[in-house]
Amino acid sequence: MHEGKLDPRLRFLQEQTADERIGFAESVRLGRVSTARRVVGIDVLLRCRKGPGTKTVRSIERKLTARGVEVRSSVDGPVVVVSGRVSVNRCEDLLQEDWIELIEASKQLFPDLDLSGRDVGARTLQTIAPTVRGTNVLVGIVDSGIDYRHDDFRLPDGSSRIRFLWDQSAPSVAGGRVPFGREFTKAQLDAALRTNPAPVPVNHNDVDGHGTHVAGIAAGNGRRSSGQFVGMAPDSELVIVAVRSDAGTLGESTSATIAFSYIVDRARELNRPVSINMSLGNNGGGHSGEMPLETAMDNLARLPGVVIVKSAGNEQPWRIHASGTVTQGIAPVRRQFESSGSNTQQDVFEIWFDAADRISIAVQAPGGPTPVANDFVAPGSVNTFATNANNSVRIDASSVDAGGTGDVRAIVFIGRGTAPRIQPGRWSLHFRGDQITVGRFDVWIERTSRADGGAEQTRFTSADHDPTCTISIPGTARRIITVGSYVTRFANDAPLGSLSRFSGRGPTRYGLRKPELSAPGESIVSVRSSGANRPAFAPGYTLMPGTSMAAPHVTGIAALLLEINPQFTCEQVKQILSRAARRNGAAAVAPDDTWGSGRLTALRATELARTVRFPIISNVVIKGTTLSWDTDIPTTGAVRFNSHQRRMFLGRATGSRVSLTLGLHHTINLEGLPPATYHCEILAFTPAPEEWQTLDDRQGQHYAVTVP
Amino acid sequence: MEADVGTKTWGAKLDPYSRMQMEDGLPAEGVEVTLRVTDQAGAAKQLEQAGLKVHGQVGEIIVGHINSTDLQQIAELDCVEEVQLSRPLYAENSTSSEEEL
Repeated sequence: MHEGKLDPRLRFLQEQTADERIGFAESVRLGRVSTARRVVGIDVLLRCRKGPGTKTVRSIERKLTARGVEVRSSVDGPVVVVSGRVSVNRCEDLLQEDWIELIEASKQLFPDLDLSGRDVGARTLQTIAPTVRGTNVLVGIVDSGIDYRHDDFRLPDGSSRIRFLWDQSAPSVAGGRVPFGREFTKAQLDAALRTNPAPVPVNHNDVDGHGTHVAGIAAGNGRRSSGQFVGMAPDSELVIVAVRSDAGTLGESTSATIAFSYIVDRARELNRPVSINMSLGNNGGGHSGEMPLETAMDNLARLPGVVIVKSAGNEQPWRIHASGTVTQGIAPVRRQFESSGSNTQQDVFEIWFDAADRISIAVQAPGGPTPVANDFVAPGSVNTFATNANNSVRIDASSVDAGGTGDVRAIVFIGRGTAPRIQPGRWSLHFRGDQITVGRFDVWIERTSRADGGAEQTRFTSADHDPTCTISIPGTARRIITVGSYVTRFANDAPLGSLSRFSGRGPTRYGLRKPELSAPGESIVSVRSSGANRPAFAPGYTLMPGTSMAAPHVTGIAALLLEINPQFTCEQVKQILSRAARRNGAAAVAPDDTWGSGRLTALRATELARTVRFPIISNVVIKGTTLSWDTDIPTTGAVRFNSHQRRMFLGRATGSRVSLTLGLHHTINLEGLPPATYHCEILAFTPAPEEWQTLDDRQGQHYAVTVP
Repeated sequence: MEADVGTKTWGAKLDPYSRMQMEDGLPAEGVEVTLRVTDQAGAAKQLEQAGLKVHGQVGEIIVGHINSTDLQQIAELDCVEEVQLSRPLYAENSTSSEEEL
């Protein structure tokens, strides 16, 4: 009722715990904090209306004083503006007064990496004993590269904190350990920092600046800013892979795949755990982890001491997803999309549906005739034609078992053909149910570089877009940690503490929860690459928003958890971070497919990491239709299964059976299921309230149980 | 009008995006390719013999470089389940224009 009367920053403060209020108010310098009384006094401006009982400035000041406001000065006019200080706790009382029109906190810009560090609790971990700062842990970054000369990536003696830098664009050298590009070691980087000319010239330069900013959030040590802008794991060491950038793109799926493998190999070589960040993505795939890059990430994320973190993507406002249900014998379902006329390249639409269905697809250009029977392309077929405006259309529905998933993957390509551009206006995709068992379809529009502000990006109409399932690829990989963004700095009227409007949303197409959690991403001050054309926020630092910025907060905090236990798996770190996540304020809706489990909370996560005990599953035996196993501590158990192994790999179980008796040995019988071979994964749970979980899927090979 | 490319075993292993790239003509210098294979232990050797320069392997996923003319030969191997050419990735920092949408 009083929403509009209260400054969002004050609303945010009201939603915090006492400790959080103090940390926040201190960091943004909103007012004076009385820590002893655990009270935050906020400097405010109050806009007050004159009326009965508030006819004069004096009467208004008197009333405000009586309600706990420490009045400093007032400006008379049609409305009276009062400057003063008030406890956050008293704001709600003031809102009840109808003569108070507005309560606004005094405005001041504030340092954002500093702020986000406080928000997630990293600052306390870094400064109060026993400190946790990422010692003996590697942070891996797959991105545009790094400004390796920046002070924040150097030790106090000036040497580099980067153990390895693989520049995939650099000219290769004979005998190198990388398949293309060039690898630089710490020794080579140190030499390049010390001497000029360096014995081995390191010509790497992050001209984009994205990777440098991301690395600064995860692991910058704040040397350049005397500790003002400190990353999450400032004592960690870095392994950097600089992917190739070209025409607004940043890397490719193939080079990213090998980048992850490279980082894990180097971590093994150094005998260190590693937390790897990827803040890159696209929309090309089925959004349930089907893509080969996602499989590779999932495979690596099984290894102890390897955590992989991915941004949820910023696709939410672009209306890139539509979905629907078709029914056999009923008129085709239509989904409309708009082309602005700025696109001179190509639009790509990914369409996925269950291979149990036979859904035919047609495309209708603006002003073109409604498709008739022969215009529809059935699964297993491909058709290419030109529109009346001479654009080319290709409908390829020939992947009837895409990647072994049992799903149909169709792609529609719309090119400019012989015309100068794709025809502007409203196009339509038509879906006809020829033979239907499931009926659901999903469509994603591949993203463009958006270099000119995104005018060329084709998008579904407001009526036809589906705001779910907008996590970018490879963020839908099952085992990795996918991160959404929330606001910790005022910009573009985004309410403080709210989920960023751009933050990609889950679930996956198979219905698994994504993102796992959310972290500060709007907007963050972090390291500025000297080679990049980005405005400085402060010397050596720049401001960027995006889930790109949220993910490295989690990457850095995951590195802190790996310092506590270098053997944690990605799944275990995911559980700890999810359990620790705050669900206050706008995140009270969590867990859900927007916030995930809630806000990143480092302090609680490290507390849990020190005490958690995950059950160990052993002695798995299959005998007939029964599956039995032991655990090292008392657990309950479950078996999830699917007769389709690839779908089970992607987390799509068709059924489960449970063993609810707490014990060290469990047996579950799949008798009674329809005859088939079932690919099973075993789950063990410790008792409530902890309910820590271990999943054993035989390293992705599953336990096969045949029901005759 | 319709062409059933799905009947070609090797063609069906390519995703539609890669098929489109092939039909448009692949670059003379070759292509980066990601493969999903069935025989994790022995596939890399077979692929190398068929012309793939293997860059790395993570379980059933193998990444490498191949001459464009050898792509069909690779896709025809029994150990190859899926073939995907490179797809571009994009940085995920938001832009001011997105805020205005």
